[in-house]
This record gives sequence, structure tokens and C-alpha cells, in this order.
Amino acid sequence: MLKYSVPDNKIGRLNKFEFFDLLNRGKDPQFDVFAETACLIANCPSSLIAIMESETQTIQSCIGLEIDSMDRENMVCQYSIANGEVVIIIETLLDNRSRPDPLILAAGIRFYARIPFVDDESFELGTVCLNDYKPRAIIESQITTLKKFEILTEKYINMDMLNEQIGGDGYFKEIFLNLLINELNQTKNDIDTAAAIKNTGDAKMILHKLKETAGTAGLFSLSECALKWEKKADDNMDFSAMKKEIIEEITIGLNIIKSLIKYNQKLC
Amino acid sequence: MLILIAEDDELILKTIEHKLLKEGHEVILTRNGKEAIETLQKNNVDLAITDIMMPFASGIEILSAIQSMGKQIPVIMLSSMGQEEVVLNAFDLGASDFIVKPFSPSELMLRIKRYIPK
Repeated sequence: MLKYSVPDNKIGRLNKFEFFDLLNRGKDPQFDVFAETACLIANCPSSLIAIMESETQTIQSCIGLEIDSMDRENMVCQYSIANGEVVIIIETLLDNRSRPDPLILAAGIRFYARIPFVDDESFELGTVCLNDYKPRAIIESQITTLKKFEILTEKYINMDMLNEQIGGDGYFKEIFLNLLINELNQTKNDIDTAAAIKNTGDAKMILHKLKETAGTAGLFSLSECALKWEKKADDNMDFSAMKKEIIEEITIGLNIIKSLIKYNQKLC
Repeated sequence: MLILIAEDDELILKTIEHKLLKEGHEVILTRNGKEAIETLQKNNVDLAITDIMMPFASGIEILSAIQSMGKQIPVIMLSSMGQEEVVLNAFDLGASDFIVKPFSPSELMLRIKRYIPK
């Protein structure tokens, strides 16, 4: 039987969990949005968001699986928690790390990817696990996007801000979220055009508007990114870098909002 | 009250409209400065809420236009971080109040209440 290794930063990590009030929280429906988003990004049928506590892994949300927590021993997740790195197993039945994992065997999981969320002080706060029922690969850009997905610190979306705008009105919520999707898609096109013809004035205007739209919707990371490029917008701006970064951030925002819509539909 | 909103961000425009309608106000939506000025000329608006940076004419130009029309309309400016100087200029041109984006719609509603005749 494989024995899991204990990471050197275990105490600091658990202290951090306490600080963020992440210990013993159990499932939180708010995380379903992010689990759905992770599935959309990686095109996987199943995902779970979890916190690895001292001996158990607490599931915050899972899509396509029904579990609340798992003992750490024998789980494939132990390999990532020990070194904080991404684990990708394209065929679980052929890999020594995944073969003894009871969850993988019971659920018939054949593809497994685990991407840790690391905070500014290099503490792993949580993880997203992606599963598929057939062997497959994951592309680098999907991993990059998922790595940036610092869910637990709510970097990407501030639900309080979003709810403040919507004000608990289900009908308006649908209008608001669909409007947001339209606006973000339009901005993607506008940024593409402005970058292609290197129009600084247009780029500045688009970025300014994006900053406000994203901020209003609680997409603070996108808003900050737009502000950063708005400040840099002059004739010497690297249009290509700006376009790449902004479109990447908009795509994350769009995925989160689409997942939110899907989650709301599920609740109805 | 009849309230004009001038805002080129559809999301913010619709959010404010939604809240104002719920509070029982009448609302006119405009999506750029030029449209807002034309609408202000044709209508007796009780209050205007305007963005600063907009296509065709800015919020500052709207304030100047209101002055030129000789109308006494309270105007709440929707500003962004880093627009402090513009906001000061707006107050010189007769702006009544300002709120920084992203803002809480409830806070905006509270500010609007100050302009509802008792």
C-alpha cells in the first residue's frame, strides 16, 4: 500500500484554512458555480473542489459525483498536496498513483487531473479535480486557466457584489447575467478589432468600459486587468499582449457567468 | 419623479433602471451624451444620473448643456476611480453629487431620495 507523504508546510496551511474560515465547512452550493466552470474550461463531465485538511479531503462542491469527504490515505490527491504541483493522469488504470484510489475505482474514473490553488504565500488552499470516464489529455492552456482560478480567495468573482446588483430578484438576475454575457462577448470583439488596427483611443474607451462592467458584476480580477491596461494605453502599448490577457480574463468571466446561469436553472 | 439616465454601459443602465422602476419612478434611458442632451432639451426631467466618459458627449458636456438651457436639474455623476479632478470640475459646473463605480444600487437609491420633493 502506498503511504502518503506529509507536506512540510502542513501547520502553516492549516493555520491559513483557519484564517479563511475554510475548515470543516462541508459542501457549499456557491462553489458549484466554480465546479461547473472548471468542467466547462476543461470540457470534463465531472469535477470537484476540495480542501485537503489534516487527514481528510473535504469536498466543497462536486459535479457528476456524490461524495462529501474522503480519507487522505490511498487517494491520488496526496501526490499533489505533498509538492503543490499539478497531477495529470491520462489513464488511471495504468498509473500506480491512481490504481489504489477507491474513489477512482468505484466511480469508473479513467482520466484524472488535479490542479492546486496556491495563495500569495505559496500555501495550497484548495484544489480542483477534473475527471472523465475515458482516458484523455488536457491541453496546457486549460491548465493555465485553471491554475489562475483562485476560487477560495474569491479573486475572480465577488458574489456579494453581484447579489447586491441583482437584489434578490430572480427575474432580473436572468436579465442581468444574459446582458453581462452579451457585453463581455461584444467587448471581446471590440478588443480584437482595436488591437488589430492598433487604435489607442478605442482601446482606452473599451478598457474603461470593461473595467466598469466587470466591477459592477463583481468580476474584480477582470476589472483590475482592464484598469491595468487602461493605464498603459498609449501608442507604445503592446496591443498583442493586452488582447491576449484581456481575452483570457474575459473567457474566465464568461465561463463563471455561464456556470452561474446553469446553476440557477438547476435550482429552479 | 422623471429621471434621466445617461450611461453607455448597458449593464449599469439596466440595473439602475430596474431599481428606479421598483421605487416607482419614471425613467428615460440614454446611451450617449448627445442623446442625453437632446432628451433634456425636450423633457422636463426632475433628476439626471450621468456617466462621465461616454461617446459623442461627456457627462461634463451634459452639465454645461443643462447650464446653457437655464434648467435647474439635480445631477448625480457616476464616476470611476481616478476621476477625482473631473468630479471637482463637475461640481463647479453644477453637479449635485457623485458616486464611484462599482457602486451599490441601494446606496444610489438613498442618494436619490434626497432629491424627492417632500
